[in-house]
Amino acid sequence: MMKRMKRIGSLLLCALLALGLFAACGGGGNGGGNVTYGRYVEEDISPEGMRGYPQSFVMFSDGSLDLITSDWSEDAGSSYLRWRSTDGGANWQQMDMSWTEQYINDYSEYYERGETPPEEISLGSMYPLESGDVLFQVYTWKYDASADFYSSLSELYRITPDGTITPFSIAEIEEAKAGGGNVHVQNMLTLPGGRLFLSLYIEPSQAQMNDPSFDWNSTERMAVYDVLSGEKIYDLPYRGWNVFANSTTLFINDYEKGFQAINIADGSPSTAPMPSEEMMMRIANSWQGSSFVDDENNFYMVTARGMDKITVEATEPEKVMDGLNYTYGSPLYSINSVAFSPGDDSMVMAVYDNQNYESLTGRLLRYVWDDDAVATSDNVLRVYSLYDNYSVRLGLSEFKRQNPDVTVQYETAFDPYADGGAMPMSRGGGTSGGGDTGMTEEDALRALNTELLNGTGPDVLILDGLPVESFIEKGILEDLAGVLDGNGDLLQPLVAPMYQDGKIYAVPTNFFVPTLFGESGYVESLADFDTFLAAIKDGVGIPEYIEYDPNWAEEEMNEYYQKMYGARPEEEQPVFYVESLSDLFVSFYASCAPAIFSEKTGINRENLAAFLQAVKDVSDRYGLADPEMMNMYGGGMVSSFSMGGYAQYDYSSTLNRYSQRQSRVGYSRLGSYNILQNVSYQIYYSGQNNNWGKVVDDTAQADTETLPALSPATISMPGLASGAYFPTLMVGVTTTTGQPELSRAFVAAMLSEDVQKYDMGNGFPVTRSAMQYQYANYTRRDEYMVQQGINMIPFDYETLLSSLETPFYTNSYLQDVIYKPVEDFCTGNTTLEAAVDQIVSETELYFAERQ
Amino acid sequence: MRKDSSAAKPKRRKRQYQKQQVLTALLFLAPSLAGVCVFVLVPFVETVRRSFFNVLGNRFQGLSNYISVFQNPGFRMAAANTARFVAICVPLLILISMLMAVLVRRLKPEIGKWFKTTYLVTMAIPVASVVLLWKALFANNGIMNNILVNVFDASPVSFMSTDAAFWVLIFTYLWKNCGYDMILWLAGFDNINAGLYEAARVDGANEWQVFIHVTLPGLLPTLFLITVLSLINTFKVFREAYLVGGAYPESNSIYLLQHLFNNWYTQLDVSRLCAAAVLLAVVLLGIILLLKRAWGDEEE
Repeated sequence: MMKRMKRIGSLLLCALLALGLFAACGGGGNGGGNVTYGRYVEEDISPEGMRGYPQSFVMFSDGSLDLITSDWSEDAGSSYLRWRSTDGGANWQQMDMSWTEQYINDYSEYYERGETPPEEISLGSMYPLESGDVLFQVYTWKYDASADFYSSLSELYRITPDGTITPFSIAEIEEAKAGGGNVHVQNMLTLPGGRLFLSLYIEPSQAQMNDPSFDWNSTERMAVYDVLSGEKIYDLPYRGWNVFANSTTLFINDYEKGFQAINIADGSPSTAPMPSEEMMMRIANSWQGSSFVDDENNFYMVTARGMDKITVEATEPEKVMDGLNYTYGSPLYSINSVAFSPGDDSMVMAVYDNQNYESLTGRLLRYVWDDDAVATSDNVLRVYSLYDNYSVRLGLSEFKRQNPDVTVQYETAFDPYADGGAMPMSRGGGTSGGGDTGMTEEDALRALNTELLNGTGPDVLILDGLPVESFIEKGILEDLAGVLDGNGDLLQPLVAPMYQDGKIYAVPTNFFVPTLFGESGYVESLADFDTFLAAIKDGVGIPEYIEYDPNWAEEEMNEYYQKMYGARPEEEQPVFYVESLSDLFVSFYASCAPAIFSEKTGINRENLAAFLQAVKDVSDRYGLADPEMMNMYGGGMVSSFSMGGYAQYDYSSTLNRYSQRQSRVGYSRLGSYNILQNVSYQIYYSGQNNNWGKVVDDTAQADTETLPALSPATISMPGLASGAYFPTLMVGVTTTTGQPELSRAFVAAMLSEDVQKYDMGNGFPVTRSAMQYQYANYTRRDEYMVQQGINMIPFDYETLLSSLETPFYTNSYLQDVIYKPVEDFCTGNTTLEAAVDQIVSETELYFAERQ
Repeated sequence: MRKDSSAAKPKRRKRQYQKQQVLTALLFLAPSLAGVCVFVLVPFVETVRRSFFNVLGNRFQGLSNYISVFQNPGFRMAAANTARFVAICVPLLILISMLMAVLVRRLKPEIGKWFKTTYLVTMAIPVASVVLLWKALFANNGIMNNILVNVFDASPVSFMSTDAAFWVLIFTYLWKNCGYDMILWLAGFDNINAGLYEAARVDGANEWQVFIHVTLPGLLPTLFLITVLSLINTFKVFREAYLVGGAYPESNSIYLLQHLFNNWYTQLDVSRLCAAAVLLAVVLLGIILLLKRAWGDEEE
C-alpha cells in the first residue's frame, strides 16, 4: 500500500513538473496569430463646413449635440459658428450666430496709432443649453488714460433661439457690479433637472487687496443655480478644479479636501462610492485630455494615449481604447472635450488640429462599440523606443492610416507621464529614465536584448539612445537600402554618411546641429574655434554676480535687474555669456566630442587636452570656477518653450542672454525653425524695452529707449570637429522580425511627407520637401513679424547641409565621465595632464570592452 | 543437469527488487534532474553553441569568438582581477574561518552558539545595506577617512577610485562569508571520530600533533567542500562591486569578469560573452577537478 502511494506520489510530481515545463514553453510568442474582436469604431461626424476651434461642445440628456466653434483665421475673419444635431451627428443644422458680431470689434486703428482704446468689448466662453439658448460671457475692458488704469467687467447673458438677449442675472455678479467689482466665471457645467453649476472668481477690490487680513479664500465660490432664472439653489463649500457630473452626483476636486462627491438634488455630501484618491489624482493630473464619469461612478480619462476606465474598485486604470488606433492619438490633434452617451456607451470627441496655428481646425469624432470589429488583427507591428516620442506616434498614425488592418503596438521603456495619461516630454538624456519605476536605460537595454536574442523582439527599433553602432555590428538590424532607393527626397548629405558598404541599417529621421547665433557680419568671423576662443578672452567679462536682496528699495531693484538682465551696449557685452561650468561644457562638447573620441578608436588625447584647455580658458575668463559662481549656477540652465502642440523646444541660457542683448553670441542645439523664430522675437522685444526687468516702476516703461533692430545670423558651432550633426531619431528594422514588409512600410511612413513636415520637437526633418515646407511656414509667419519690424533670422538650409560631415551619436556615459575631470581642472584641483590621464583611465574599460 | 529452481528464485527476486529500487530512485530524482536539465544543462549547452556562432546564433564562426575574447584587453583585465581576487580571498577565507571555528570550539557551548548565530547574520544582510555601509565607511568624506585624518593624523585615502577599492572588496567578501564557512568547519570538526582523538592522546600525542595528524586529515573532505563553495561565492561579490561602482567602476582593480559579462550583454555582444563564460566554466571545472583529485579522493 505504502509502496503504491509512493509511486503515485512520484508520478504526480513528475506530471506536475512536466505540466509546468509545458506551460513555461507554451508562453511567450509575439502575440501574432491571435485575432480578437470588439472595439470602439471611429466615425467622423463633423458638420459639413466645420471650421475653427471647437470652443464649446455639449451632448444633452436626449443625445442631441450642440457645437460652437470660433474661427480666427485671416480668411474667415473673426467669426463664431454653431451647429445642432438631434440624431447623433448624422445631420446638422447650422444655427444663426450673427448676434456675436455686435461683440466683435476692430480696435486696430487705435493700436496703429499707438493708442489704447478707451473701451474694449470681447466675447468670452459660451455654453449651449438644452433649450437651445446659449449662455455667454462678455468682457468689457475700460482704460482711463488720465490715471493709466485698466478696469474690467465680466457679465453673463443668455440668448434664446429667437435671438433675444437678456442678462443672466446671478446674485454674485450683481453684488460685485454694485460695488464696482468684477466676477469671472471659471467653470460652468449644466446639470440634470435644469440646474447650472458655476465656479466664480470674485475679483477683490483694491482696499481688500491692501488689507492683510483679507480672506483670499472668499474670492472663489461654487454654487448651483436654476438655469432659467439664475436663482441660486445652494452654495457649495468647496474651492477647487476638476468638476465632473453624472445624472445624480457632482464631483469636485477641492484644493484642501481632495475629491468630494455631492448630491446634485440638494447639494449634500454624497455617500456614493468613488475611485480611490490615488486613482482620482491621476485624473486630476491628466492634462491635455478630457475626462468624464458615468452613472456607476466609473471615471474615464481620455488622452492622446487612449481611454482609460477607472472603476470604483480600481487599483490601476483599465485601458479601453489605445490612442494609436484612432485619430485623436495622433500628436497632430489635441482633445478639446468628450461627451458620453450613457444610453449606448458611445462617445463624441471634439478634437482640433494643433499644428495649424492660425485656425486650430476642429473635428467631431464619434466612437461606438462594435463587437465584430477586429481589435487585434493577426498582422501586428511592434515598434520599440526607449522614450515615448511624438514623431514615432505620428509615424504610427500615418502607418495606421495606410494599413488600417494592421494592429500597431508601441512599446516604450520610459513613460514619465503615463500616470497622467498625457504625452511625455522629449527625451532629456542621462542614464536613468523618467517615471518612478527606478529603471535605468541599462535595465531597459538588458530586457530588450533578451527579447532580441530569443527571437521575440520588436519588429522596429527606434534608436533614440540604443547602442546604434553595436546593434549594427552585431547584425541585429536589417539593411534598409531598398526602402531608401529611389527616394530622391532624402537629404543625401545627412543620409549618405550612414551607409556602410552600400548598406544602411539605421535611417535617421530627425537631426540637430550645434549652432552659434550672433549678429550677421560678426558671428561669421568666429567660425574658427581658436578665433572664437580668442574673441571670448579679448572681450569683456560677464557681470559680477549680485545677490538679490528682497529688502532693496525700488531704485536698487531696478538697478539690479538692469545689471543682471537688461540689454546692454555692444561694447559692454561679453562675447559668450555663459554663467556655469556645466553650460560651458555642454556648449563646447557638442562641437568637439566627435574629435575627442569614437567608439572604434577610443580617446584622442591631443584633442581631449585641447578641449579641456579651451573650457578652462573660458572658465578662467569668466570666473566660472570661482566657488561663489559654482554655488550660484551649479547646474546647466536650459529652459523650454512650446508652440501650442505637444512639442517642446530647449532654449539654452547662452541663447537667452544673446536674445536679450546681453552677449554677442549664443549657443543652441538647432533642430527647429521655432527656435529661430523665438530668438527673433526675443531680440525684437529686448530692443523695444531696454529697461526690461523694471517690474516695480511701470511708468518707467514710457521712457524706454528703443534699441536699433539687430540682424541675427547663425553658423555651425565652432569646435574641434567640423560639420558635426546629431541624428536624434533613427529607425531600424530587426533581422528577427516576422513582419519585414510591414516594418519597411513603417520606415517609409516615418520618411513620408505627412510625418516629416511636422515639427515634433525632435529636430529638423531629413527630407527636402519637409524642410521646404517648414521653411515656408517659417517665412509665412515671418511676414507678420517683418511688418512689426522684427528681423527674422535668415536660414539657408542648403548651406547648412553642405557643411555637415560627421554624424555623431550622443553618449551620455562618456559625457558624464569627461565632465568631472574638466571641473577639477577648471577649479585648479588637478593639472591638464592629470585630468587627461583620469579621463583616459576612466574610459579605458569602456573602450577596452569594445575592441 | 536440472536447474535448482529454488536458488534461481531469490536471484530473480533480488534483480526485480533492484530494478524497482532504481526505478523508484529515478522517479524521485526525475523532477530535480529535469530542473537541472532545463535550467542548467540546456542553457549551458546553448551557451557553448552560441560561443561558436554569431550574435543571432545563425552563422557558425568557428573559434573567432574565443580568439576575440583572448585578444580583448577588457577580458584580460577582468580575468586578471578576478584571478587575483580569488587567489587572495579563498585562502584567506579558509584560514580565517578555520581559525574562528577552532576558537569557537574552545569556547563554552553557550557562548559558541551565540558566536555561530552572530557570524551567520552577515549572510542575511541584504546587499543594498552592505553597499550603503560601504559608502558610509569608504567615501572620500566617509567614516574611515575621518578616523584616518582625525585619529591617526594621516592623509585621507580615496578608497573607491584607487587600488584600495580592491582591498575593500576583499574585506567585504571575508566579512560576509567567514561565518558561513566557520559553520561548515564546525560541522567538519564534529564529523571526525572522537575515538581517533582518544587513541592519539593515549599514544602520547600533544595538541599540535593531534591537530596535524588527526584533525587536518579528517577535515580534508570539508576543506574540499569549503574551497569549492568559497570559489563559487567569490563570484557573488560582483553584486556589491556593481552597486557601488556601476558598470565601469572608478577603480579598475574591482572590474571583475561579471562586469564584463554584464556590459557585453548590454551591448548585445553575446557571442563573446558565451565564449568567455565557457572559458570560465572550463577553468572552474579544472580547478574543482584538481581539488577533487588532491583532497576529495581522501574521502574515499
